[in-house]
Amino acid sequence: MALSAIRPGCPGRPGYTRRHRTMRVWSVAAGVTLLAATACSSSGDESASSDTTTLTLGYYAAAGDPADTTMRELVDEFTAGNPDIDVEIQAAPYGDFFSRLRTQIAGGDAPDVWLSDGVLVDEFAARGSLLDLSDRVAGLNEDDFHGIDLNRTPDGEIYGFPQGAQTPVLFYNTAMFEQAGIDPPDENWTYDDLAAAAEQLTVDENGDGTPEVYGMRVHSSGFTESWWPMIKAFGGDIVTDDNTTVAVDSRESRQALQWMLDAIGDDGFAPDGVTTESLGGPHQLFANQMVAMIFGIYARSLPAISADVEFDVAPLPTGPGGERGNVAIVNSWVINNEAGDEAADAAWRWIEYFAGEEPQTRWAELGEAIPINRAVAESDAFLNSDTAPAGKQVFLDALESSEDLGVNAVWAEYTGVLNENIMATLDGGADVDTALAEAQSKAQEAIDRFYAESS
Amino acid sequence: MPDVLTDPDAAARHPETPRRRGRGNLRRTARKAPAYLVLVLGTAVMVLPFLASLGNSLKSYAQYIKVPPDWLPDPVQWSNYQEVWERTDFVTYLTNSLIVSGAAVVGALITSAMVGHALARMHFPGRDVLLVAALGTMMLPTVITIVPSFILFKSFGWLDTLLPLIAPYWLATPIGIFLMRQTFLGIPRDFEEAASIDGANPWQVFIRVHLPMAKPALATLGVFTFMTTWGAVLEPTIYLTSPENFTLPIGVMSLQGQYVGNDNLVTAAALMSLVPVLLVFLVAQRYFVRGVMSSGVKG
Amino acid sequence: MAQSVVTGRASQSAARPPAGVDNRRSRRRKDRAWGVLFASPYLAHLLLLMLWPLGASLYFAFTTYDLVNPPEWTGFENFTRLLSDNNFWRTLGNTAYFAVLFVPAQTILALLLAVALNQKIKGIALFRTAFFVPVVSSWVVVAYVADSMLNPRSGIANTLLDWVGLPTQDWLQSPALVIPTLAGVAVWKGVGYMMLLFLAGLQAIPEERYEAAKVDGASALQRLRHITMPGVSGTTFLVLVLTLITTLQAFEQVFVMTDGGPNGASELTVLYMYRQGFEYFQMGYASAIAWVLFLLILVLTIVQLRLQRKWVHYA
Repeated sequence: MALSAIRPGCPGRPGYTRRHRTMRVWSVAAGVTLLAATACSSSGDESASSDTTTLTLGYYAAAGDPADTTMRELVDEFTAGNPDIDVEIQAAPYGDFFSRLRTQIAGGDAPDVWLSDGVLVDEFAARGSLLDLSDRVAGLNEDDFHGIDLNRTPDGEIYGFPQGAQTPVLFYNTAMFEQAGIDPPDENWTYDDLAAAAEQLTVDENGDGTPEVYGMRVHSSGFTESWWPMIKAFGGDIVTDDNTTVAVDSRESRQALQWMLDAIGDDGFAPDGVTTESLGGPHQLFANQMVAMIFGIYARSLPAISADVEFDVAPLPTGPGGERGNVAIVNSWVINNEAGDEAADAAWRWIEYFAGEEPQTRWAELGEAIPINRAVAESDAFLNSDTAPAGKQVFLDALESSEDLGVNAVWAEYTGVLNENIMATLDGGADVDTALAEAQSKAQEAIDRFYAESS
Repeated sequence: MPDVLTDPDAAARHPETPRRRGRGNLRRTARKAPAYLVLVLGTAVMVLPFLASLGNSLKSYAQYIKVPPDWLPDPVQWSNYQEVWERTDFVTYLTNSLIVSGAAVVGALITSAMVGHALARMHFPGRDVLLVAALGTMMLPTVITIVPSFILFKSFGWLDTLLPLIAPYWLATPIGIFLMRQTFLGIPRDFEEAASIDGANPWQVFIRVHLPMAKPALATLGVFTFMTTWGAVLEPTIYLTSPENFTLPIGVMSLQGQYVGNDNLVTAAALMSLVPVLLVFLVAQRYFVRGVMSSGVKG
Repeated sequence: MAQSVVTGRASQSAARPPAGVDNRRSRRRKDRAWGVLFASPYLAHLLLLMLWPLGASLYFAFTTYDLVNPPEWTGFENFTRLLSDNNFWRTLGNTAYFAVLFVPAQTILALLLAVALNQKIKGIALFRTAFFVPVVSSWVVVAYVADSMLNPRSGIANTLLDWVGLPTQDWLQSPALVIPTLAGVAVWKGVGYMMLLFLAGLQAIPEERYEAAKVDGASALQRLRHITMPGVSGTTFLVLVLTLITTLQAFEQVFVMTDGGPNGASELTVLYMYRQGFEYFQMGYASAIAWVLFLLILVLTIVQLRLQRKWVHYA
């Protein structure tokens, strides 16, 4: 049965519109091209391009997870309503999806439309692999959707259309709060209130110096739920100037990091880096009830629900300057710049379909992302659904005042540099001042390497 | 004859080593105590983690992430295995893995032996260059040729097929060439000279004289090729996009979730993927272990 | 230079039996034809599968190539950047550290186990299978299985340490221990296969040598030192070359087990290269790293090949 897999297939499919791929295959040696020609004759490719368009659609999900299943159902419904479109799905878990995608792009074989992590849209766009959607978006009423503005580049272009939004808020374990007799957090909480409550919630029953339960998770390699909003809440900034100038080396950043260091320290209420990892990693601590609070994006509800945690959410606390530091990631559909006109049109129809009320409501039921369709986000289906957390309005408010996560063409690289240096401080080795200075200069170097060259 | 040393069955069968009971036996056992100790300890280290994983694979997600952990699953969630079975196309992945590894082993054995033979025994222009090239390509990290290779296989029309995973092995692998060349160098020339005087051509000499003498090396190479292809992650990830073409490791990994890790399911799938290959090993080990051991890999 | 080293043995045996001139010439031509025929699979390999990828990656090393747009020639820029890239040197140090721990540990343990298995032992098939289970497990499987062993809170390793009263360790989560732990896991996975290679080597040592030594009154240790070890030196060499080459390219293990963490402490060079190429869109720079790593491995292999003459005894 699987023997068919051995037989080589040809890249050309019926209805597959090919534009100029010469750029991509610029350097395939002549001999290779010859072989290719003999291996795969191109006859028959063009003949069938009449009535149906084949759309390759890529997304990341675990096989058989509810998200995967729902996505496939939506695709079926979409093709049922659009008989002139055939959809070929390419799904893989997150990490595998993106390593394959980059190879596919290099080889001119990427899907026509794919789901991109919001922070990566600019990376692909700046290198020319995404189609500019500005004109198509202009045909919609922008006010109907969340997150379009966050996807707009400094030049006003839009390369990704929102699929689902994520923004960190304060998750808290209601059972632990009740047991400790502490009032649940509200919108008036400051970082001082947070620290005070966290200290009270830290439990070391046997007095061995290692708490059985920590008040809060502060340390995380995923900075969206850690130092990024914290530095912003203390009035600091990460990048300015259309996200091309690193500004992290500031007094405010030092204060934020100092707050974190105090939290992690011996008298603190948060596990240090090693403990965080050994308790299951930053994203598991809340689900296995080792901490009472985390900064978490909406999707962190999923593991907490799976593990039967009683929890709710509150707005991020305010820092000394009264700011919360809200940030958002808008995961988005993007269209391959190499897709032919027909495929691009079909891709846009899929995007519009997915943004519609019915599919968005179905997606909202998964509890994985904040719906980007405002009507759905404000409907009972989302706000008053049975699934935890009860306070979903908190996410909408946070999203409303969110900034982007410093996205630019080298986001992964420069934030990697920042994170590495800040982690070096939080893990107790490096001096805060030196680390921030190093973070700033190295991150700027990475940004300049790209922007200085292309300007 | 050497089998006697390692194979208890052979020892039993061997007329010169009847099983004796009594003092001699006891003394001999005492002498082997250190060996037993090493082996028993080693076996424990090898097998314990798998047993612990078996426990983990039967836990619910909540119990899997629990700290401090429970050693035994409670309740025992057999449904994890059922869920893996339903979510994945396990038989297809297994078939694909068997096709890839089987084809790769056969191809690597035939072609590596040929090339190794040529490098050890034949004279032709560019021989030394070829040897250096083989050694050299073995040293270049494969990660770096992924993009050009992808473009190459795309031009062949091989994307999303098993061919990119098999074809390289049918054109002799550097490690195979190196191993086989070393082996053939160690075989005395007298044999083939006798054969060529009898009028055999080089192909016949290769098939009748050299290959039989290289069985141990071939077994070694076979196992090595099987190992590498069976466990390969990176290349199948890059080349295979449709679930019907997935190999087992990709199939196992496809269960990994971004937000809820599904660790209990992935562990179950990982153990499931081990069962067939262990069965193959249990059945085949007599043949290939004896093959490896029947004479040495001489340098 | 490498040529003379690696082909030394082959060319010594190049003498042909004397024959008439014509006869010899035609025989030579035939010989050549057979040689080319036998070597044709690898010739095809080089021409079809390697020439273009190798050439392309070498070319990329002198360009900036972002995977999307055509590469742009930048000369030696990637290599000068490499020289001052502290992270690259750190990953190289990590790689060397890993190799220094892993290669000898695996080799010695494999030999030890082979010696233990190279005698009449009850239940030998069971032992062999046990040592082979990790060998046939893919790294994906090993990653999950190892967690049951090494998880600082829930793993067996710490439970045992705690039980015998030793301090528990953070293993893969500890920046100081992560590389030794990875090396240990690599030994755990690989030792069964290397053991098999050694077993084959041990079998090749004639029994008479041991008998003669026993008659001369040599102790077990002396026999190990003077008969066993020289007897398997050829195998040892093979094991060392193969292990070193594959170790310096270790990728999948780290990729699936730690992804370079905690905070870069286990980032090996090939992983760093992967990140540059596939996550940071700098395939030109990644290619430069690959070629520098290649040169380093080449030099090490040549050194090993030269050293082999001093300690490898051919039967």
